[in-house]
Amino acid sequence: MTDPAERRASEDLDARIAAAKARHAPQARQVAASALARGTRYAAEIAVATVVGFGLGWFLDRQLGTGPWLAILFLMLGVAAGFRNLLRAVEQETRAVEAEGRAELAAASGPERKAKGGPAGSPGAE
Amino acid sequence: MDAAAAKLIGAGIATFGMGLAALGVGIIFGLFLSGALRNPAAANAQRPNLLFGFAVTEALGIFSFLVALILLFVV
Amino acid sequence: MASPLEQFAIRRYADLSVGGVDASFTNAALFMLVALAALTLFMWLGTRNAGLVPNRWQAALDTLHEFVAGMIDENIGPRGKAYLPFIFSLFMFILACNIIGLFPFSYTVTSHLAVTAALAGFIFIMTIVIGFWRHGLHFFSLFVPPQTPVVLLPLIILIELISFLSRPVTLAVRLFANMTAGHILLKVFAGFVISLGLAGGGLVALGILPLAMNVALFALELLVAVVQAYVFALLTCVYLNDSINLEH
Repeated sequence: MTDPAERRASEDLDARIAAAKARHAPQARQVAASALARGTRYAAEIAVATVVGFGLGWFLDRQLGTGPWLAILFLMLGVAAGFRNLLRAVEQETRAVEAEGRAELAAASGPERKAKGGPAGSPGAE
Repeated sequence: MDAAAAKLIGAGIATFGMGLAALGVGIIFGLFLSGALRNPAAANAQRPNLLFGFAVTEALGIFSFLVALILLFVV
Repeated sequence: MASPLEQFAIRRYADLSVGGVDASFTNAALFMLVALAALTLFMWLGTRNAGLVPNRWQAALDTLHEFVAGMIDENIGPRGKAYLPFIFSLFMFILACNIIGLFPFSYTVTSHLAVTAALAGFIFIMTIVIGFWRHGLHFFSLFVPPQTPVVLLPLIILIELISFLSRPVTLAVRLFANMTAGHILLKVFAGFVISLGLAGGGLVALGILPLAMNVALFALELLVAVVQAYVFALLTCVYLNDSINLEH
């Protein structure tokens, strides 16, 4: 049973292999399949957050006797919470795509820079 | 009309939303694939947009499913 | 014909009451014990002749262990190593329950909301306790994302609170809905096979279509059983990560 921390040493090689693989961009079908799998999760989270928000508001309404207003307010907040989760995931994904783009650029221009003796593999130096 | 019958009919009508969400999902993936076929190199960069569009459409479909469930079991 | 929901019925085998609470031995309890026995057997076979050169059982066990260890390392980091036994047991138990449920005449424990909600509720309380234990009252900063304008603060806190409270619900409902929907679908198509077979005449030959569909669905359900166990363990890691490595 290999310790994950011990495997870090070989990760440098793994990163280079990953960069080489990234040059062959993933197929459209793989992109669509991953969006389907992750998107379903976030869609379910939006629906559940809405229901939880409504339940919370309904419970508070019953305790405080404030008509349907808190239920409506918390329903909206629940929708907002679900969409916030989704937007956070989308932002994260955008950053990942940007990082991949930079890694690809660095991998493409890396060997020449090393030959010139410049700072090897510092992304965004140009 | 009988209230129980109206409930069932309402639940059936609510599932229309799921079908329409299916249309939306189809349009999203269809347009993504047609774009990816024209420019395969750009397909990977559109991952976040695809995720966002699909999740929102799917969430609206799940909402109508929820409405159907509420009509069937809660109301 | 039997309803497709009949497979989820709870049957009592022995009545038992602990302090007024109904704790009868049911088929759910029986199949949890079966899952436990299967896991114990698997662990025993995997560790029996443990050596530098693994035999087949040990290789299988090692693969699963490394998979979970890698997942924890990726999502929690070095501080998550202490939680490896818990997450490994959780993953293996759900995986065993899901896969045992796919055998004919067996019973799927994870297709009951009570079971999944108990697991999810335990994890939810555990993340809260660990959060307060490690960070004290600073744990509340989980609800205040960095760089929030002060004007929006009450709104954002409410939104984050709802988002936090909906975690155990999503965790429980996802596993429950996936297992229940899959098993209902299997039974519905199996029902088509039988009703076409009883119809007689040329319709009997048509019965091959739902049968083929059932074979394909069964493969899908095997995938769903593994993926849902993985997702449950992965989300547990993500939630634990929020309590262990509070970032801001």
